[in-house]
Amino acid sequence: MSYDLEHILSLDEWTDSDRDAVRLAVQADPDLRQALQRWFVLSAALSERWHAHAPSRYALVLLACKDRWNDTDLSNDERSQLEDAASCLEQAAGNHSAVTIILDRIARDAVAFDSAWNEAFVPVSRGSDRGPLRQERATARPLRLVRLAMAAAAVVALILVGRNVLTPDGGAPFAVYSPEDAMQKVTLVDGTEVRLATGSRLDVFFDLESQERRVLFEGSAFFDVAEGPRTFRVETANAVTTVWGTSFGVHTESGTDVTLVSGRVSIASIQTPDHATILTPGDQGRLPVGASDVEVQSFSQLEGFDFAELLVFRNTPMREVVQRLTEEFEVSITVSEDLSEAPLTGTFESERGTKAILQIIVAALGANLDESQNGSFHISEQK
Amino acid sequence: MRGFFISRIGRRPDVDDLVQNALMRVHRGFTDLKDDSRLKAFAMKGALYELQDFYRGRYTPKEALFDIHDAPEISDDQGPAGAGLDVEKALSALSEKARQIIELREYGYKYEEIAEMVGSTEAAIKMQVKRAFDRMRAALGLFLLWMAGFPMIER
Repeated sequence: MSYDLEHILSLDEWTDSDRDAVRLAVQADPDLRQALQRWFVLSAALSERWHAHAPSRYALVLLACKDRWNDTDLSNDERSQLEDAASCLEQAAGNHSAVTIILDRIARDAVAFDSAWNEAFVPVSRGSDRGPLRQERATARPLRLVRLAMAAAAVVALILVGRNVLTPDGGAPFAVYSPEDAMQKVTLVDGTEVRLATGSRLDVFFDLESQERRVLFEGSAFFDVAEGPRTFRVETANAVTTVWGTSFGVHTESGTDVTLVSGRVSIASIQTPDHATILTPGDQGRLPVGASDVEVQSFSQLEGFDFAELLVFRNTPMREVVQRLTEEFEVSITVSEDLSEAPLTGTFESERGTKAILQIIVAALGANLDESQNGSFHISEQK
Repeated sequence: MRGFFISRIGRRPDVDDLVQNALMRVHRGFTDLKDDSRLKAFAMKGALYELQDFYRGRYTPKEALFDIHDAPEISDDQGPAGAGLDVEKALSALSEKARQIIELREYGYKYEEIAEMVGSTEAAIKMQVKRAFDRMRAALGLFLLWMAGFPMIER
């Protein structure tokens, strides 16, 4: 299996593993290679025009924050840069609308710096200063369709214990046992978030010096692995799954099932770790007990992970998405015929509720959402 | 510094490098600090510069994907004057929104960040990129054929 064009274009940060995989893919597929070359030609051309007309990065900082700084805060060179950039700003913004957006972003970065500084150095006004930072963070939080928008509601006591144990001087494993009566969301020290089913067990081995990340696992869980300099390994009784920043489900019962939602993982028998099978999003890999070969099939809706309170779709036709949401929320949802076969890929937390999830879906589809007085919803194509 | 960088890029290993580099900037520039009460403004400037440099270095897929001799290059002085025209056509085929997204991406922002900046969703941004790619494909194809030594194809 290899990375396809759509997946490559949607990669956000390229890890070394991504580069290796894409290298292999373009070597094996001349069409893919040519398509990527075309894309890079275009982005390079845009970049060249940007550099010819837009202010430099430092000049953008000076422009965005010019009202914050007085003359004594700037060097002679910076004052000169600022004057030059200000004189051509209008033209640059006219040619490149992204200039204005970046200036706005940098201005908000400055607000965030203010808040962080005040939190650190002005304890008296700590309470009142938290508001803007939280507000800024709240407005900065995007609606994420493909990645999980997991709440940081992990059990505080467990996190505190974890931090104590996972220091460079520590080294002892950190064990998390899920409670008996409810799914548990846990945030590991590297930012990885795990939704553990009742009765599951997760033993974490993080070495902060070598930055090795390894967990032993049994049960059912959904992982949203934070990107890191080293891979993240999930070991079960019979399999080892190696991860490069991704979200996926694991279920151990008569073997190991790995269901990949985004990113890339490899799965291999613990007996033959060099004989790995690569999974790409939408793949479900199963390694039965005693087997050495992974069976791979595709999924369109992630079943069997209801405990995680997630709704996962992968190229799922909208008619099936609507049916699933109708069952989940017990509310009438319909979709117009012209959109019924439109494929949707996304992961949603059930706790967001019907309307919020539908709003994300119609935004992604560029569609309309109508809500009737009796509480039913209808999705239709934008006129 | 640490709290600031975590609020901008999340809790990740790069934060330590950013903090170190920003503090080095502040330290090196202390001779320019004329008013001690302006330390905050001074430190903010260093942190914001450092953040822009982080975005600049975020993506290096082009260099990593192609051998140097094989990497596509764009230059105004390559070939006859008409050669660049196909790139211009491809660029003009882009919607304003798509062009904006690609520029923000080239600046170094992640799709997730771009979505937040333009008030959209990450999925919608990626869809725009895919559509942009589809639109410019044909026009760039002609340009690349020329680059590969093929005669220009008349439409």
